[in-house]
Amino acid sequence: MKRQRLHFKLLFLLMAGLFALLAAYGAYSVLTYGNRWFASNRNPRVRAQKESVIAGDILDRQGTVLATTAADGTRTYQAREAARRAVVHMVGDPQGQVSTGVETFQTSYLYGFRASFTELVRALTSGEARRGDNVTLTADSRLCTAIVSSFDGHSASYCKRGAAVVLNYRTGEVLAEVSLPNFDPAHISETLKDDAGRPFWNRVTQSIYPPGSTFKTVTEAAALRSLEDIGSFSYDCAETPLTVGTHEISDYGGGSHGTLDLSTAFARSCNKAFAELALRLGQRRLLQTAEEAGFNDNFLFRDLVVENSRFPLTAADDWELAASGFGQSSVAASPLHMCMIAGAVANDGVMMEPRLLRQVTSPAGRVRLAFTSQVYRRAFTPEVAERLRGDMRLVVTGGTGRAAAVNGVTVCGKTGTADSTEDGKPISYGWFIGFAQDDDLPFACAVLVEDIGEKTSGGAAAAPIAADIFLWLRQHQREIVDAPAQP
Amino acid sequence: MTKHAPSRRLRRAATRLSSVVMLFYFSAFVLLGLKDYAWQAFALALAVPAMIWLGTNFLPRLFPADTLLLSLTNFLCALGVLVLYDTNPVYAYHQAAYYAVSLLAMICCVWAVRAVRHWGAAAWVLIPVSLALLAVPLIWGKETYGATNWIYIGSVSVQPSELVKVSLILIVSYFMSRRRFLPWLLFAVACLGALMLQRDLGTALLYYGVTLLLFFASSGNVPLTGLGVLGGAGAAVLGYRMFAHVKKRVAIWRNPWADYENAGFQIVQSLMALASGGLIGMGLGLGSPRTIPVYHTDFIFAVICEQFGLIFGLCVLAMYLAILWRGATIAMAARHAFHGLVAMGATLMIGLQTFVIIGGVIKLIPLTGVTMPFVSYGGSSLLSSLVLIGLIQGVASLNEDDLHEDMLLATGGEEEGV
Amino acid sequence: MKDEWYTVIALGMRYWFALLGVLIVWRAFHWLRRDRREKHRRLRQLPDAGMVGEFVSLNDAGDMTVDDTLPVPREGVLGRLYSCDVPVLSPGVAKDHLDFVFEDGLGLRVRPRHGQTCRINGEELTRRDAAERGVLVHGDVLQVGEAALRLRLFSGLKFRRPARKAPTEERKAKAPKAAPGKGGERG
Repeated sequence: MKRQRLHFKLLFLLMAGLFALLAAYGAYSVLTYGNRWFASNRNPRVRAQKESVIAGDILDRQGTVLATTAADGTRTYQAREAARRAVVHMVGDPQGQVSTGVETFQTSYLYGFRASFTELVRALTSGEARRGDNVTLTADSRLCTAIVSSFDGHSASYCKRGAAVVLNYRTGEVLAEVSLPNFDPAHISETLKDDAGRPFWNRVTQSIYPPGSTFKTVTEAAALRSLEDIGSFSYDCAETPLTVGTHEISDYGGGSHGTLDLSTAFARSCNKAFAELALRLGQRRLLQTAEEAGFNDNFLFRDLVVENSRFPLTAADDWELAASGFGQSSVAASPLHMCMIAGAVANDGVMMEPRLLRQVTSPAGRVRLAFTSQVYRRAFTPEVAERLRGDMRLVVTGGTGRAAAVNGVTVCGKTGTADSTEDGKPISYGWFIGFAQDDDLPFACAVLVEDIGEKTSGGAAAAPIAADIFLWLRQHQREIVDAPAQP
Repeated sequence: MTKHAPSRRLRRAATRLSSVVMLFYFSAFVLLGLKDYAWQAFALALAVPAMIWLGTNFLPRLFPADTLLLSLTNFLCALGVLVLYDTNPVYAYHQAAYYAVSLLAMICCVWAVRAVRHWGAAAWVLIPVSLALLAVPLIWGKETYGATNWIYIGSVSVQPSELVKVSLILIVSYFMSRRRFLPWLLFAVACLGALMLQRDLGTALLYYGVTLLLFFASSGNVPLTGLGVLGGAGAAVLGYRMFAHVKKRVAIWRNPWADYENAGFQIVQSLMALASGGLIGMGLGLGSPRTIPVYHTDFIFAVICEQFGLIFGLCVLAMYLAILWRGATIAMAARHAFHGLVAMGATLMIGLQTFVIIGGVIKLIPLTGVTMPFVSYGGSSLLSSLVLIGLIQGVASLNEDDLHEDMLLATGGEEEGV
Repeated sequence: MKDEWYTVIALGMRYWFALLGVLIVWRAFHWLRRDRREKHRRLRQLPDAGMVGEFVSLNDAGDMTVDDTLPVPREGVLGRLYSCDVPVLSPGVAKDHLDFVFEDGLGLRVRPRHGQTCRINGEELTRRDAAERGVLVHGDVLQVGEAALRLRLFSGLKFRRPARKAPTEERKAKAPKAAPGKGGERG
């Protein structure tokens, strides 16, 4: 009986443990995922509120009204169509076709779910219809428009699909988020009839692509960290392809680079050299650095829903490991994540959490919430980041990224050309990730161009768009960095 | 023989709890009444607190009751009535009727635990009766929600597996306390088999879990218990491979949004309800609780969290834990191994069932189709839950009697120290 | 009531209900703890609560010395482990040696585990004959392993004294009866 009593006590503790697990999991779920589940456009409770509350405005950091509710209740966007289309994936649409647009995702603010009790009473007694809160974004809509025109200008001969994102790498604020093809939120019904190319899909955060040579940033970081003899690294890049297992690795356009040290290999983007580095590192060390940079992590950012980036946990054979070295195995990342990586390099290895909201103001004008920066993770050590900065500068001054150079801006970056298949057909993606190494222009960007064809590289397709971005930033520098917060 | 009267402090603690509970229900029903000025709500605002008061002060005088346990149980049952009234008043009236019947059943159960002398004979009678009850749905049952475990007698629907829960505990406890291995093992296996055939996998899980844990409690045989756990896991994997709907349930559990329209609909709505509730809820009478599928039985916890919030949901969880604590205490105080096992078995059954259903609702584990004890709508569910409480109460009253006898012995036989 | 007003009131009441919920939980656990403390207090006044008697050891065997007393609960296990209800720490005693349960009107029914034996007043008892002969009454001597234990049942408990020789050293206050009797009487 004594023993039975002891067992009863143990069993009770087991039950208590199970209940504690329930409580912990329930609290964790609601606190972390609560907003996402609530903001789903299938939530019937939101629909009910939408009928009685006038949605608040969405403003960009300059105060431009990106979305507002007209007197007759319809949701109106900017007057110019080009401007509307440029920000549509960030702002969203009234129906929630862009599932993670601010219109949908920030329902709890826009439709007044966060109103305080006194505000409710006041609204009731005054008899007017309730208004939701106004949301100010960190983005600048003019930059979005500029990026779209840059795409139109440069990649005229390619399929008009791609994405671009610009971040402030010191604060994590998203300055621009553009995805192509886009659509006009004021005329959705036409797009619904013909949605070729998936115009509702936000390619910046929802799609992951093989990063191609832009991943060499991570490989180099891993090498700098884990290989002791990296200082004396030298690779002889000849004409003949490198054979790993049953596959051959060659460089874009064939040809040889000659004898390379690490920096030159990076600047010229030599696949064979980085395949060699990957093989020397081994799967485990490369995986470790990739995960420190955010791969395989479950992104749970407050303002943004970002598809998780993938790095293979095991390498099936040497070929897959080697291919990971230059970003061509099953490695995949979203343009936003690659931009965050570039930002981390610029910011001494500290990766900031990307934010889209600057502040939330009540309809009466009171600032309800002002958001602050948060560190997401330390991706690289300062020494590694410093070395990478130098090498990324070399890419733009004397490597594959020359097209991204801009007068008056210290542009650093990395190009990439990734091969993949889509619907069984081969497709190439052109990448450019980079940043401005100037204290008064703390911005990083990532540009992705889909389907550039076999003859073009990332350096030719994506880098010029990045150049346009940095040029615009330089021209409007005073406004974007010194813009005061909205009252 | 006078029963030991609780001290004044204890009575004060009891009154304090019941007064807060009465206040809670009074204010809740009045608020609901303000919505449509329905007289029924105001009537309930008076009736439910009155029931609670009666339960705490009056009922214990009629039969040997454990007041604390009764209070906790009443709170949860009344919560069920409140939430059902909030969503669909007709269900609330039915539930109140079921509650009255189940309360009577509970009292009968307490009396039975005290009165039955020859549990051996009782056990041997219960075995064929229980197996027959479990077999009935297989022959005459109608399929609901994918499981064939309901039978309809006229207009009343009964779930035999809920009733057999009680006899399972009695039978298993009896033979385990006598250290007779075979009878309870065969019976348990037969029950599980019947449940598997009915596709009632959630209840099968409960039966298996409680039997295994009681085995551990009575024998202390860790290797065999571990084997049992592995066996259960193996059976789960086998079930996954064999049954298509188990595969679907597990797939939904991992990513319900993939099949939002059909299979994942229930859990997605539940999660959205949880999220909409936030910490303090959307408000009683607000929100859209009826959009949650099966809101009156399986997902009633989601309704509670939507209306009252996560904090209140955790409070409900804590109340269940209090019941478990009380049940375990009573089991530990039992003088006979049989009584202890009965009380613990009932406690474990309630605890496991609560864990399984709430786990399913918050997506910790896949959905299984068991109901939430005391709160869920349903005659069989409420009946079996209160009968289990009745078992615990019966053991508690026996403990009180034993303690009382010991006190008499001690005061009487002091000088006689033989 | 107008929808908007109801909404405001219901939204305000959320805090009220959350508060009450926490208060209810607090009070419930407070009651639980109070009850527990009271039970403990009552039990402390009755150190023999739940016990039906005690075993007195008659010899030195292992860690047992003469006149050691072991309280005997109503139902339990006798064996060598500390977790047994009657821990007999002597050689020859198995980890779980026998189960015992007090049966009203009969005495302490003893049932050895598989493969174990014991002696009641000198006579050997195995698992198989436990059903008929395995009952101890007040004064009987139980031998397990090398230990010999005499059973003392508390006064007030009814047991049936079988027609067999009772040891003469122990004497109760009242003379023992041969037929069903009580161990000592109360007023």
